[in-house]
Amino acid sequence: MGSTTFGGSDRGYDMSLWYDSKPLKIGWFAMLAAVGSEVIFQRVFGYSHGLDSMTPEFENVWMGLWRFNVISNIIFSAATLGWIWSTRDRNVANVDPKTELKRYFYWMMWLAIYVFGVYWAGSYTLEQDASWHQVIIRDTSFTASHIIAFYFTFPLYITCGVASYLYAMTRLPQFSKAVSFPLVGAIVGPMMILPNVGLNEWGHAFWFVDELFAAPLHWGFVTLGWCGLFGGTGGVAAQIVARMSNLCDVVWNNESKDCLHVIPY
Amino acid sequence: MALFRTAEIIKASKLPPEGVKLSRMIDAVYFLPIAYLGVFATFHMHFDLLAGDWDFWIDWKDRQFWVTVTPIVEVMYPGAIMYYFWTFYRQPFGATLSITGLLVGKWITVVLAWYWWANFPVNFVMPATMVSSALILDCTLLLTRSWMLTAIFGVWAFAMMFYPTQYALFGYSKQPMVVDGQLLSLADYMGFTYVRTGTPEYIRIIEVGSLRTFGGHTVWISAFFSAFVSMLVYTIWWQIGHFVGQAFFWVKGKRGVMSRKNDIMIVGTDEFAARHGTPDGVAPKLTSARTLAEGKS
Amino acid sequence: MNAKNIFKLCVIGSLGMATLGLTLVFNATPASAHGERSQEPFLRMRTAQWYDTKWNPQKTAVNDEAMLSGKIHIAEDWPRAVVKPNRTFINVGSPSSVFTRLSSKVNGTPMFTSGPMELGGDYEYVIKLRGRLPGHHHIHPMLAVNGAGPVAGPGGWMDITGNYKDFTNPAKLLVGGTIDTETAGMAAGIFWHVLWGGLGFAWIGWFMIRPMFLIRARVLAQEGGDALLNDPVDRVVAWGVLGVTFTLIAIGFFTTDHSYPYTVPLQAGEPKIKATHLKSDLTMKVLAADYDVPGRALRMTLQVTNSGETPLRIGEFTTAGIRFLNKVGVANNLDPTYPAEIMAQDGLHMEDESPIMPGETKEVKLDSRDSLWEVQRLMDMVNDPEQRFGGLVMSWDESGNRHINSIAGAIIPVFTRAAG
Repeated sequence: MGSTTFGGSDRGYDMSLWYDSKPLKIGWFAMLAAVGSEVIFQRVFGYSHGLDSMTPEFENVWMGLWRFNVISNIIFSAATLGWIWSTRDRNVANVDPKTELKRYFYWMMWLAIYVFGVYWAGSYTLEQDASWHQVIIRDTSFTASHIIAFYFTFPLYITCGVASYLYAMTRLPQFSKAVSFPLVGAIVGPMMILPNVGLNEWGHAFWFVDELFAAPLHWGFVTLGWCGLFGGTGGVAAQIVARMSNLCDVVWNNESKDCLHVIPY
Repeated sequence: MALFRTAEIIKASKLPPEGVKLSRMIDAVYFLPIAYLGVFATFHMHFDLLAGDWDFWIDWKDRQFWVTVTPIVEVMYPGAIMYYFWTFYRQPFGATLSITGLLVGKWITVVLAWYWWANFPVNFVMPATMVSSALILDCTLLLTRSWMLTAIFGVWAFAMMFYPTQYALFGYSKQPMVVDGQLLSLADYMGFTYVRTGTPEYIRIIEVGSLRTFGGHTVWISAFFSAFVSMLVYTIWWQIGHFVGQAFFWVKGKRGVMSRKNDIMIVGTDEFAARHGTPDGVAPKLTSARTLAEGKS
Repeated sequence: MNAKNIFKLCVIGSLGMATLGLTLVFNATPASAHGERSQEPFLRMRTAQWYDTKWNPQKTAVNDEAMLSGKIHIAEDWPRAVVKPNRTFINVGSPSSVFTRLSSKVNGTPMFTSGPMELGGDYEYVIKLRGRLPGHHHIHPMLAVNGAGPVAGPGGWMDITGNYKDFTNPAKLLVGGTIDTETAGMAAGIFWHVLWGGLGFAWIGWFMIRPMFLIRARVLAQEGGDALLNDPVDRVVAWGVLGVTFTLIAIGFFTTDHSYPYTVPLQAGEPKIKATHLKSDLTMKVLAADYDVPGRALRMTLQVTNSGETPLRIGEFTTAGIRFLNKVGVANNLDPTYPAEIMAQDGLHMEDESPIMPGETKEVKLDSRDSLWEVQRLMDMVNDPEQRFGGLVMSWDESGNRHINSIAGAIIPVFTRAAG
């Protein structure tokens, strides 16, 4: 341990060839700001306009926010995915190993932002929903809590997840032709949580009007959430570590590039 | 003499200082933002939707279901996460990571949602803590280096230590009081006094069944059963950890047939050992067979 | 740059939202009700019939007591689509726990837990509250039915004045002493959370200060790597952590056990509350009923028989907590504090206003006509799966004695004026 082991300021090599943390910082704080603003919106207008879905105030304030959430997510999604696709590497098979290492860091940053989105959706707004159900009578599918959970944070993390997938497909050789089993699980599983809201609302509208959090009606969310394990603590992480290890051997241990082509691209 | 074996481990990793630095940057970008946050984002959802009500409310913390359900639900993620960290890196903190993460997520919500938005006092919605149990589980794995022994002894202690740990936090709420001529526990009264619009009293799943425990050891019968189920669940989740830890790609063959293929870490091959040597004290073994990296199959 | 892109969009998004928010700040009108209007008419008209609801006083200081009381009649004609009230709880619908609930009695029996109610039964509830969060709050009595969810009663406004910081909620313990439910056990709970959390983070931190992933994966992949990673110092620390953990658990458990020698389990009983029944000298039968959608009226033809000894005049029709009165009702039963937005003082009309004489049987055409039918969304009945209505008809004799009949019947919509 100790910083000397890992290189000090006079380390004698150029980290910027394989590492740049700016996107993570910007993306992470941007998401914090976006979701934070919505949470503050809830605090400001929850009690004053969010208790009765039949009032014109609710229609203006909360359904207004709902419309904003849907539209802004569509714009964000189209812009992000469009940008990743349009700036794709058309010669991805010949990427330089150090550049590929750098791209792996960028990709991890995408995954980190995706995970942060999943945090807001699956951890924060989900449990917050339990608290708001103690305040209101369930009188609409669009409560002050659901509007932000289901229609802001859910599509937000889904976009970041799909963006992560697309980034890998367009920038990382191994993912350009082959399909990573754990990556599909890590992106598509949590993505299905949004359609699962349909089951939730159907069940709550017709059968289960009280709020029992552990009700079987909610278990669809749980099993789909498990798919997140494919990512940060499963196959995706293993693929990243294996690939980065081989890239290190090519860069620093003079290993032949053959070891990079086990998965053909 | 150094406290840790770090210098030897770094030497055996065959990376120059720049590579070591890169590995630390992976630790930085990967561990907290992806692995830790990812676990607690989904584990929190898992826990809330399988056992949340018992954890939210002081008047759900009964001798029967709370004690039975919580350890079973809380041992699931540690099973898979411990598999991953142990099998791939021999890191013995999977359970502690899962459960401290769950609690960070819960406490953020307790303060920002339950207290700040929905106006409940924090003591009324205080979560249980299983960090003590998680430490036992992780230490058992580190010391036995066997998931079977961990499942048998560690998980047993994990579940059995649940109630004694919580008693220090919630014992006060079992004090008796009399309201309108009826005996209530303080917890019952708190559940009654703080109005919950969406969770009327009948939603409580507590203290049902014949409750004929003969000696009155209701809690310990629940804990014992919970420990038994937790052991089974833990082994299943270790396997789930294996399932989600699969790192293969679907590769399209010449005739369009898809087949599974795993990447190979060159550092784990005998050819690499022949070229770069083995860790100190290990004789190089020269064969031509390429082996899969440990845990990557 | 990808992240810049996200950032830009998020900034635009936040600004847009802020703009939306700002507009609202200037147009902010106070909140109104509490979501009850979205409940379907059959749910509100044919399950619990609320009457004599009182919010008293309408202004309370923090820590002062208030009362929410009234009566419910559990409709005989309970809808098929709604689970029967085999397990019910009289609840308070309030925007979070603005009051704490000190006591709740139904027909004189404390209702801490849920119990069955009888179809056709009457229940009087008295809920004692204590002002907690200052503000202007809309408070409903609610009947929560297991399987059917909450049925909101009429909502009235209650103000709480003062400062939340002054709020306490003392609870007297059986073994002596009082405890404040706002802070009870808080310090111990936070102490143990911090202690265990700190130990947990220290355990993870112990491994974080060393290379964690790539290095270890590379070592593990090599011959002999597994043994190398098994650092002896970790084993010593693990034994130490195990020892500390078990010791702390034991200390926590035994000191707590010693502090609270007398404890009881959670109480999960079921009060069996005896119902009372409506008393009336009248018998009523719904011969026909329609609701005039454009005219916003419910028109009933009733066959009424007076088997008593005094003439009776119909004065009020109440359903879903909404009251329609005529002069008789106003004279006998006007509660000036009842929320004006759910009461129509001139909402009940009869073709023949003469009293129903003892021994007489006659057809009464009763119209409850008011915009409340629309405002309160009861006209939405047309979307109900069973076109029936229900409610309570109240009549008075000359000395002011009230007679209440629960009525229910099929109902036909009238969509156009021509058809009506």
